[in-house]
Amino acid sequence: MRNTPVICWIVALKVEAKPIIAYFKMSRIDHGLKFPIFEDKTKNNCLIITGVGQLNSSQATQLLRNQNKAPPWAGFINIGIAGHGIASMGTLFLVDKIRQHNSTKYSYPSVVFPLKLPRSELVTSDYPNTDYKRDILFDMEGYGFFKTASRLSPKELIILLKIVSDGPEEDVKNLTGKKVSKLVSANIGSILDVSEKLRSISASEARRLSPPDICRDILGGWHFTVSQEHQLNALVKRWLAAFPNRTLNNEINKFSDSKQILYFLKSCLDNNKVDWENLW
Amino acid sequence: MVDTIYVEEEVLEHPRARLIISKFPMARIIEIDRFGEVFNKRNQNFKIQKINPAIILAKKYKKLILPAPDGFGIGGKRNYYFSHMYNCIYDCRYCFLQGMYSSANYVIFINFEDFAEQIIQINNEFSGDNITFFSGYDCDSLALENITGFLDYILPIFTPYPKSMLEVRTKSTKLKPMTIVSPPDNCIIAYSLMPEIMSRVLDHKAPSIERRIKSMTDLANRGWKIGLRFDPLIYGKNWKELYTELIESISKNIPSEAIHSISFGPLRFPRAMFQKIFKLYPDDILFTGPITQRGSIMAYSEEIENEMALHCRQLFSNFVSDSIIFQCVSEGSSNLSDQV
Repeated sequence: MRNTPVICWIVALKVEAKPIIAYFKMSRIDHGLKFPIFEDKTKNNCLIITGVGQLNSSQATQLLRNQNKAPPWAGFINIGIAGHGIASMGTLFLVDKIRQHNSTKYSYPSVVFPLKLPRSELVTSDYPNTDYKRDILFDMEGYGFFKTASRLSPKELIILLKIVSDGPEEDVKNLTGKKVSKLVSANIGSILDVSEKLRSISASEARRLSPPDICRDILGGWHFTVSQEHQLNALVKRWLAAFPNRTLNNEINKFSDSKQILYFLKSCLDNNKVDWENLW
Repeated sequence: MVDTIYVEEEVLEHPRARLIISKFPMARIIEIDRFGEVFNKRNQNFKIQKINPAIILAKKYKKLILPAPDGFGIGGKRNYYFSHMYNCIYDCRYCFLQGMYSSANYVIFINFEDFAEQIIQINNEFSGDNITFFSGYDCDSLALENITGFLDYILPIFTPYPKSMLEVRTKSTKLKPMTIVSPPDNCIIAYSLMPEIMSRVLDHKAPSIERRIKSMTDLANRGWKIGLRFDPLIYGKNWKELYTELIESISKNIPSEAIHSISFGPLRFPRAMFQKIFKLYPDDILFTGPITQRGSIMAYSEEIENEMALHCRQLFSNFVSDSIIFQCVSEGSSNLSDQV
């Protein structure tokens, strides 16, 4: 498994996706899949065009994760247009409360870093909603996306961004592809700011959850059972933190099997007296 | 600065909730039904939430006051504990809260009256007994006092019950709440302590030991009873010298007459809890020490534990009477006093 941060973009319409695909210089990589998938060269940014509706959004989120082999520290961003009762067209919102149109049960996407963006509740419905009376956002995908994404990554790595595209003063029927792309492009700076903050958390999670690089070398040199491999990963992390100035490779070369290596690591730690005075 | 406050619909109009909300004029207020909708849910990440914790204002219905585990106490016949909050503004690496909850948001239970009612009920039921109530099992009792006003509310509840003692466990050096009231005879402000250089590495976001000693000194001078809590005891190179220096520093500043009690306990985690915490911080320096599995707990070896307990007890007894030194040991579960 790679140990780099990953951001998965979930977007309903091609016209919404266009500015993001262009920014990351993504190319289409799927072959005959239900939903078009794009990736940048690093594979650390990937995007799927889901089409309209909750079911599509949910299925596509899962598909993107599978195709990209997104790790458990992948961040997921759903970006798209939405209706709003009072906000002006083009306003970018961070969603922090979400429900389905016919339900009273809410979900609450986390707000894990301070953002200057305005925040709003989102209601996802299966049909275009033009009941703009309330101070909330309306879309057709957000809830389906959130439900699936929050099974794939921690809730703190899932973000919903919505750009107001229609409202009481702006008929949804007047929306064109060009207008939608323009709305996303106009907010691309803020969108990328959010994605970079998310990427930084994803990177920190990648470091936390990935085995240290040296484990790959050790596993290549000696045979470890799956259970031993887990022990190795944990012990090596502790060992590297305990003895940052020692070279593990040099110290385990002499061992002939996995048991000896695990015993060595454990013994070092069992006999380690943390030198609190010299940690500074 | 807190930028999100979740509020249970039921407490939205409670004056205490309104007061807390008013202290965060820029925060977004999100109405919820019950705090369980946003707190400690599956697939939440404690470490990430710790970056920007939200406040959750809620009402607690059950288990407001609980009996303390066996092996825990500071001389009272009966011991109880309670928490008006879940989680803490500090981020101490040995804290069991990291393994207990998947959420780092601060839950504040604003129905202080219900806590008081149960405290009164227990005091009336066992009026002849010495009872100790420990505040701050799932939080730091004072760290958010300027927001919650809990101490301010709860202290007078103890006034009619001289045999009933309130321990307020903290690392906070914000002393204002204790400067505006006269120190009652039956309240202990108990500080969690460890050698400064260990604390610098392990007590993230918490006041330094030097500042805590200064605060204890101020409080002692004002007439407050002080508790010294060395729980957990942390092992490492020169630990004897480090703990000796710490005690010397405390004894130079705080008159022994001001010390109500000293308690100490080993570093121990239930195994499952340890695994959760280790997974969050696998390369933390705390876990590079000789922590091993002993039955269902993760701890230093018995030999280390005993040596540390023996040495520290001796150190403490050079400072105060043996009768006010207490060793806390709870088998197989987190120590009541690990958390702050």
